[in-house]
Amino acid sequence: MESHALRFVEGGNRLIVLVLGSILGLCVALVIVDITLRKFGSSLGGTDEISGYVMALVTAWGMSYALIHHAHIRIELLLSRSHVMTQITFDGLYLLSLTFVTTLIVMKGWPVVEKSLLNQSTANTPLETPLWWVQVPWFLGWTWFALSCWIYAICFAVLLFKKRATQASGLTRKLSQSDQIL
Amino acid sequence: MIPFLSIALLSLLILSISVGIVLFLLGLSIDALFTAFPLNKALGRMIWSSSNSATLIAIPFFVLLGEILVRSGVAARTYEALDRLISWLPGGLVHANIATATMFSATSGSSVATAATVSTVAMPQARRLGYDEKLFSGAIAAGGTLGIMIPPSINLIVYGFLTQSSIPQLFLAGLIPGLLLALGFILVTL
Repeated sequence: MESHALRFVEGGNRLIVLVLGSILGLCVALVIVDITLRKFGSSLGGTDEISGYVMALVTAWGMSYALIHHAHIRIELLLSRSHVMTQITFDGLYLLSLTFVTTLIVMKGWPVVEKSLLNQSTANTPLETPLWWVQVPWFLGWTWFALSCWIYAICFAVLLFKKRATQASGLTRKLSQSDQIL
Repeated sequence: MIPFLSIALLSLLILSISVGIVLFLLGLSIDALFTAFPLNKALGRMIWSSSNSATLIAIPFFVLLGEILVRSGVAARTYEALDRLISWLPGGLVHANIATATMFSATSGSSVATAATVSTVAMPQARRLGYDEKLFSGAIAAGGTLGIMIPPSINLIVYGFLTQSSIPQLFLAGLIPGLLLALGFILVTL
């Protein structure tokens, strides 16, 4: 069960990073074109606004990928010197705090999107972008991160229950190759 | 408030909770314990407005640039070239590590990325040629610190973003100290 759930998160993230990479590539092209045009006294207009939206999307959707690749920075000073049971407690605490905070972000993020949808708000910029165009995907990105955290936390608990503690810890930090579940 | 936050910060970090989450938790504790204002009501709006920033997009761009340099083999070739250029100095490949870190710092904005890149190309050499691994990885770690000093630098972008200072000026300010530091590292290992 848990390996299916973990593969779902991993597969989803692989697809997501390809899309995000392409968006970043397009944004690079847009910025280069805009800067070149500025040399000739013209401009596309709105490049900074679009790159701001790209930044918001990339950070929101990239969080889950960072989770599965253990890229959320943890100070492992005490962890690496502790007993196995303490290590598992620390790893559990890490997943618990992550799940708590991301769920809170999703709960607090929704009113922002809801308000933009209800008021049909547009950005206070030359492009007058309808805000929900970018806020809905941004919100979904955080939701995906929160969902990944929940899946990881539940899988962690299930693996512990099955007495596969090494694999459980492998969800939260880099262990040696043979211990990894994926 | 300050003593509470300092102690909470250090203890949560030592419990190996991830740094970003620790900062979130501290923010939430300020809201719960030290202020009458319902700060958490603004949480969603704050996350949206701080991530929707055209200045910060430079960070993923620099990460992308660093990634392209590693995957395309430029980093490995730079290491080879610098190895031939300066490894005749007493200390040998250790100088190549620092020089590669200096070169890579000029394209990457992060210390971790710099140290990680140099170590992927350099560590196999340490084992092959029988260098003392402690000294060798120490040189890479020290070289990595140049990553945030020599422009571009992610930390300086964030600093400039927070304090509204000119990022090109911050970059310019980091250049000479960064190069001096690199020279210092080379002199120490001579």
